[in-house]
Amino acid sequence: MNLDRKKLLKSKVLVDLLKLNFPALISILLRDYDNKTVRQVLKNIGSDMAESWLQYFRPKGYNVKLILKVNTKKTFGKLKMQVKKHDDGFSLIFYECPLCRRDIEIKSEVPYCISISGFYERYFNILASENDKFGFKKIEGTTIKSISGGNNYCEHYFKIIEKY
Amino acid sequence: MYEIKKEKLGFKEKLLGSLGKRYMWMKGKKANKLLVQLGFLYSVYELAKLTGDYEKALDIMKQVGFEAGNDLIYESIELAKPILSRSIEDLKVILNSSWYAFLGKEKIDYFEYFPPDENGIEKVIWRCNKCMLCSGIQDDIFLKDDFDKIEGSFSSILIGIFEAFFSTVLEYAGKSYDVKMTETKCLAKGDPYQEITVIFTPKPKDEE
Repeated sequence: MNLDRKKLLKSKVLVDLLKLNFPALISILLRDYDNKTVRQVLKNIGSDMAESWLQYFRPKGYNVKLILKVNTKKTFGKLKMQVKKHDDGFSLIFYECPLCRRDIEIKSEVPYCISISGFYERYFNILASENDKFGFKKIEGTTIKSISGGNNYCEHYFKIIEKY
Repeated sequence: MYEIKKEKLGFKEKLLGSLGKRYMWMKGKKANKLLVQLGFLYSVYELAKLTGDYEKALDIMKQVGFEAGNDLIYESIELAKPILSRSIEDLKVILNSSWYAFLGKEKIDYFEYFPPDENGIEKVIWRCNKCMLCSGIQDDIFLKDDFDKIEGSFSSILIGIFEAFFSTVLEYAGKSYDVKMTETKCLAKGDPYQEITVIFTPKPKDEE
């Protein structure tokens, strides 16, 4: 009898497995595909992960900041992070990114953590479609800063593109 | 380049491997296991959409594992030195240690080493009663419709990682082998356990 996903949800693995997967995947894909295609593939992976993840772990309430903190703790444990509100959306900032590495010498043209913006774009679009208290119907996520691209922190910016 | 001189690991080295894996697991940053599984599975799913073919997608993931495994072994060679020897049978120690260090309490349930045959080919088989990679895949929202049609192995990333590990260790031991690893049994496909078979074929002298 194999493990079921509810058991997986309660277990942990070393984050290095993901930390190594995305840089290698990006580097291999960039040999055959352009930057835009690779970014979209990585965002789609994050988006698929969010849709599936919500089947197993759903947040309570509609406070975006609190949801991001609870979900980050569940997915990657305690991380130095910040959620900033903007007039047209919000930003999720990681000072300690779960997917980027500070020790790389070559700046990556595709952020290693780009799937996080795909993840939360889909995640909140699903939650907002079920609860109008979020105040938005649709957001669009972009990774605007990344440690893998030479920045000091990673910033995923979520712009509200449709309101209730 | 570092050169492995030890012919076989002794009790002390094996004990060190056992302690080292616990230390690595304790010290390392963790992520949720389900999230990591979804990351791997949907990498395959999106690559299949991009290339139009699951076989190609799984090949890319094997390559991803191989490159990631190479990076990892080069970065951790200092730490791994005490548990490396020139014996293929001793790869069990590095397999057990890295399995535990990455996956925590999951373990290899069976390991068998087959000494060289008349052609010098050595073989290793290991089995696990649980596999995080294919857990729940038959009911997965994206993969359930395609699963029966997919012939390749969803453990391709894992296969890539360990092919890189074993090839590098043998390279450090000055042994020239082709390492071919395949998943020969899969829990999601109805087998009672996951089984990985590794064939070590000596390279002809002119290819070294």
